[in-house]
Amino acid sequence: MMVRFSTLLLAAALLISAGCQRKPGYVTPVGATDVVPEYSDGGWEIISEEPATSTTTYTEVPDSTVIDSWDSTPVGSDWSDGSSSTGQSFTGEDTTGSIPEPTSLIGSRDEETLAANTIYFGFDSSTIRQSEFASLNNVVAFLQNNPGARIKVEGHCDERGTSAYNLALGQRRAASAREYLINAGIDASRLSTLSWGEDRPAALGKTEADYAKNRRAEFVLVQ
Amino acid sequence: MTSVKSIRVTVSTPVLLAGMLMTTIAMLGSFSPALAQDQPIVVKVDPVSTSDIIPIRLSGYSGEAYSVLDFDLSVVGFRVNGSDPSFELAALDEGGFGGILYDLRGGKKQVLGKRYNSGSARDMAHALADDVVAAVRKVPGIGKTKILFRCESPAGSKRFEIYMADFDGQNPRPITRDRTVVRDPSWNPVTGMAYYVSYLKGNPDIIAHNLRSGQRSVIANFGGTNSGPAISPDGNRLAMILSRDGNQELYLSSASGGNFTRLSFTSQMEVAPCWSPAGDQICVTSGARPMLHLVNANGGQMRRLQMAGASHATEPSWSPDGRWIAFTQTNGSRFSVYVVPAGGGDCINLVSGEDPSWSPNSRTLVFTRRVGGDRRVLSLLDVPTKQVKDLPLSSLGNCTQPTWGN
Repeated sequence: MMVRFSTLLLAAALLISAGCQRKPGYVTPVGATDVVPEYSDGGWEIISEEPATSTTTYTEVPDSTVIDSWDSTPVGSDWSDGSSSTGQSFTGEDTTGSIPEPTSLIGSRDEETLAANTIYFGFDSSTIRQSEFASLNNVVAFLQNNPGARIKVEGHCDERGTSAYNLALGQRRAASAREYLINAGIDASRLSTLSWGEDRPAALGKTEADYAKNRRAEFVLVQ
Repeated sequence: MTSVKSIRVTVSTPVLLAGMLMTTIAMLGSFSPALAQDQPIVVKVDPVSTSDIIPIRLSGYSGEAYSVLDFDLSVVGFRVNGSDPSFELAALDEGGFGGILYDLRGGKKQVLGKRYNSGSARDMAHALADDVVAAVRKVPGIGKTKILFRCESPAGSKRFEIYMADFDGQNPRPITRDRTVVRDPSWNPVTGMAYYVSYLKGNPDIIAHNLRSGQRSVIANFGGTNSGPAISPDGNRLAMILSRDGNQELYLSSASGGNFTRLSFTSQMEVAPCWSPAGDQICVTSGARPMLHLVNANGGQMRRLQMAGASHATEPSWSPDGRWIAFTQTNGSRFSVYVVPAGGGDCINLVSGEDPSWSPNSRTLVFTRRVGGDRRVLSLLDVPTKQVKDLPLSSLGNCTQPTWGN
């Protein structure tokens, strides 16, 4: 019964979508050079498109046989030699045991200053609360006093929310904090953002107090 | 070097498989004349309702063969060795591994006979389970399929790796050894390409990973967050979420990066895209209240999917038969796996859990369950019967974000 109902709905949806006008000019092609300047971080470059023939080699093969070949799936660990097809390096330094730590421009005392000014958010919110203005203004003052310093704003979430949603929410929090700093007169090119979603909690407990500590944006010095 | 080897394997395997099939349908002494050696087996099983649990008795199997058959049949709606069986699968007395399937309803009728001559014990048991599923359920089995997922190893370390395993959680193999945060795996078994987000360079970047050669390349490393890569069914286009223009929006690129096209233009954030099986539409979370929306892969207006009974929908997965979209419904800190007809309609609450991904036969879902505080477990759900089986991956830590190789 459920099956029939869904078939009807699907058919109805197809009819509806068939009646929709496509807007041919709606797609905006975006080239790799269109990156907002202050966001470019001089890291990897977008590799060029590989020839279409490289994938067609496999398309004739039935699924079951392709799957058999996974038994020898190579681990992508051997990339410090930079041997990628285009010569672009997704190589990086040896990160044994941890995320690469950003190098401090100024000193550990300044990192502590920034760490002390982590800002916090309400549940499922990326709005800057008035209670966080003081911390943000401290960050503004720091950046004004250290004109060579650049910081990365890193957004985080508590674990209530799906992993995918939280990654996006964390990015929104970072962007909100960055926006505040820009409005306070800090040059946008000194401020980058990223999100860790719920993968780097500051507190591991399950209380509201723990969750509140995790809904945050941190300010990290970058070289 | 490795890729050359794997190509050779894939070219020669069809021949091997064909040979194996021929020998597996070789007649056993007790079979009816209809099952001649060179003819396809004609299985006659009275229709079984999709949502019925089918009780089946396994006779003469033990050890690994039994556990494989038990698992594989349970996740497509069989109940193994319960009371009042409708079917019986009997091991062969001699001549190697195989089975004879009997329909016990209204007298004992022999409906299938198989012997397997090649492959490991596990492979043969999976193949037998698949044959039983195909005969009784009329859908392809999933015994030979693989899943990709991530694990926090060890649990609590905040270090994640991508793993591949058989669909039943056996034979897990690391795909990365980066000791950082990785997430959002997607893959296409035909092209052999996997895509995921890696923080190895300090930023969430989308990486392409050739599973045959191990070679990796960068798809998107724009400032901000690059997330949610989803490879199209034909393996040629990648959908993803990028914050490169400030807001998080839906983009497409070619499978190897480049040719970026923006598909969404909203003030809200877009999250976690998935493809329709025909590759003509993309389902993505959008809206002030996060709900599923559809957009043509060639561009156009984003359309909100009608979803009665859902209020916060993320992490969609479109069934390969095109009929259903499974997703995570969030209510506070409670997560449920729901399905909605792909054309919109009433949502159905299936099970407590999140981040579902459909099996290639559009019957079973793999999803994540939160158990006991911070533990995460991958589980399989047979959607029509709601039977659940956990995957034995606890030794790897907290495993999440499963994606089935469709």
